[in-house]
Amino acid sequence: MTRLLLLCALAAACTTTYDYDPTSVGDAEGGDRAPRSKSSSQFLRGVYADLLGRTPQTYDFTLQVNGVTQFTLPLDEQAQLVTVLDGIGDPLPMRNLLVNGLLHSTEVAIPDKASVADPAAYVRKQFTGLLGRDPNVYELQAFTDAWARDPAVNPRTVIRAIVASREYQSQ
Amino acid sequence: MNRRTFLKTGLAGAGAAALAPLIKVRTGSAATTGKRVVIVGIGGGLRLRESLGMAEGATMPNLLGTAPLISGFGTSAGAPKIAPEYAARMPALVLPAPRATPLYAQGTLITNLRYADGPPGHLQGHGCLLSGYYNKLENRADAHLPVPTVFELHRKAANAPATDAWYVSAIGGFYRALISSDHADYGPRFAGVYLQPPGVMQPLAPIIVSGKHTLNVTAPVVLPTIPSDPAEDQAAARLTAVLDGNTPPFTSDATVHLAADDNARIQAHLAEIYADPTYDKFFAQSFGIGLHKDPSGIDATGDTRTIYHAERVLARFRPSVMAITLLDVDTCHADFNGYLRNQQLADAAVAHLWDFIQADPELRATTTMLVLPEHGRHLVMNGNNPDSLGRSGIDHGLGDDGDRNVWMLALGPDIRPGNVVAPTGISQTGRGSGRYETIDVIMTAMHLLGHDAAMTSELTDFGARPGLVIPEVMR
Repeated sequence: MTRLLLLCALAAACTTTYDYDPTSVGDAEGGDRAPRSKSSSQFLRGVYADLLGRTPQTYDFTLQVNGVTQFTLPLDEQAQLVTVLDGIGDPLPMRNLLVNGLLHSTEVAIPDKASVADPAAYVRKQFTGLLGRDPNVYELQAFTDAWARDPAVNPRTVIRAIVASREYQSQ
Repeated sequence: MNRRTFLKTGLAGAGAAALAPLIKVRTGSAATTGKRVVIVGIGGGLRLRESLGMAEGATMPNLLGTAPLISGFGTSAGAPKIAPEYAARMPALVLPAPRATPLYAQGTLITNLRYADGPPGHLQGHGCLLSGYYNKLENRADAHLPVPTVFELHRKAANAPATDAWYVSAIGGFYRALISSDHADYGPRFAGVYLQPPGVMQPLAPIIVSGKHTLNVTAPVVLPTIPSDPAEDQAAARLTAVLDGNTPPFTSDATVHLAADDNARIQAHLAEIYADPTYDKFFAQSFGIGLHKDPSGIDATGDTRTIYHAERVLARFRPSVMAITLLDVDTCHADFNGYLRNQQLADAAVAHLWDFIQADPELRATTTMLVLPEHGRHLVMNGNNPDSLGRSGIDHGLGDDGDRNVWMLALGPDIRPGNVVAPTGISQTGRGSGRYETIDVIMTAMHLLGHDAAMTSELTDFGARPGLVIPEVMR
C-alpha cells in the first residue's frame, strides 16, 4: 500500500517538465586549447617555485674586493630578471638561459648522470614535478633513448628541455 | 590525448626532433636586392638649433662637423658649452678624438626634413621610423601599429627569417610592441627580433641566478657566469621539440613567438655574452665611448650600450634590416647640459657604428645607414633646472617648428656623397610642407630593399599618405 501511494505521488510530481538549451562541457575530442604564453613575471615566479622551491626575494647584495666591502645594495630578483626577460621580443632564449643559470646555482642540487640508476624514473619525476603529468609512452621513450645515446643529455638537460617546452611556457 | 592524436602529434614531434639537425637555417642577408639598411633614430627629441645650428657648440662633430650647417647661428661653433657647475659634478665623457672629415661629407645631408604629422612623442616618432606612417599610437604596452613595419614588409617579401630583421632599442616597455603590427596580413608571424640592450645585457643577472649574495672579487677577476655548453643546449632543444610536437602552437596571444631555429641562434648569441667571466661582453671597454669610471674604465650609457650591441648583432646575424632607437638626449626635459653631452655620446657612437660597418667588406659593400632624429623639441625652454648660462630644460610634443624641423644623414654605396641639400617644392597630394619628410626617409630605405611598392600599397590601402623615394639622396 505504501509503495502504491509513493508511485501515485511520483506520477503526480512528474507533470512538470523543463527544457534546457544544449550546452557543451569541456573541449571536443581533438580540439586542443590554443595556449597563451606566460608573462615574464608568471614564468619567473613559476620557475623559482619549481626549481628553487621558493619565491623570488629581495635581499642585500654585497660586493667585496679582496675581502673589503665596497658596497651593499638591495637586489629584487623578480624586478631585475623581469627587466631582462622583457628586453627581448620573444623571451624564450633568455628564459632558457636564466633557467640554465639557476640550474647551475648554489641553490639547486642536480645529480650526476652516473648516479641516476633509473633514468626513466628520473624523467617521470621531472614530468610530474614540472608539468603535473606523466610522460606519454612516446615522450618517455624519446627522453630515455636520448639519455642512453647522447652524452650531452644529463639530468639538467631533461629539466631544461621540459621548462623550455610550450606546455610549460603556457598559462 | 587519444590514440589518433598521439600518433599524429607524437610522430610530428618525432619527425621534428629527427629533422631538427637537418633543417637548414635560412640565412637572410638581403634576399631581394642584396642590400642592407640600418635606420638610426637619434631619439628622443633633437632640435635643429643644437645639432645643425651648433648654437651651443659643436655637439656632433663626427656626423656634422664643427661649422654650423644652417644659417642663423654664426660660422664657427667651438666646443660644446657645458655649464661649469654641471661639468664639475658629473663624470667626464670618454670620447675618441673627432674624425678629421665629418661623415656628412661622405653622404647626403638633408637639412630641412619635416616630421610633418602626428604627435612629436617618442613612441609615435619611432613608430613612424619603423613604418613610414604618421601615427597617433597610444602609449600602451599592447599598442601596435596598424600598418606593417619595415620588419614585416621585408620578412614577408623576402621570405626571410626573423634574425634578418632587428629592432635594437635603448628603451623597453611600450617599444617592444613596435616589432610587429596589427595588420591582418602581417603581424607577429613576420615580426623581427626586438632587443633592448640596456635591459637584456645586465651583469646583475648572472649574479642573481648564481644564488650568491656576497661576491668577493680577487685577481684574476672571475665573475659568476651562466655556463655555456652548446652541445647541451642543442640536446635540450631536441627534447623540447619532442614535447612541442604534442602541444598546439601559440596562436591566441599578441606575444611574438619566433621559429625554433631563430631562437636557437639568438640563445647562442646571448649565451656567449653571459658566459664571459670578465663581463666585458656586456659592454667592452674597447668600445671607448661612455662615462669615465673611477679609478679607470668606462661606464656604458643606455645609448652607447645599445650601439655596442647593435654592432654585435650586425657582426653575427648580418641582417638586411636593422632599426636602432637611441633615447638619452631626452634627458633635456630637465637637464639641458645632459642633453648636450648625450648628443656628443650619440654622435661618437653612431660614427663608431659606421666605422664598424666600413671595416667589414661585405657590410661596407651592401649597407646604407640613415640617421635622423625622430622629432625635435619645443622652440622655448621650460624653466626646469636652470644653469649658470641661463638655459633650462626643453620639452617636446606640442608640434611647433622646433618639434617638427629635423634632418637626415644618409651614408652608403648607393648614396650621393658630398651632398648637403634643402629641397623645396616637393609636391604630393596632402603634403603641405613642400619639403621632404620623415616618411620619405623610410620609403627610401624600403626602395633600397625593393619593398617600396609594397609599403606604398599597404599605406594607400589603409588610407595613409605614403612617403616618396628621395631621388636627391641616390647616386
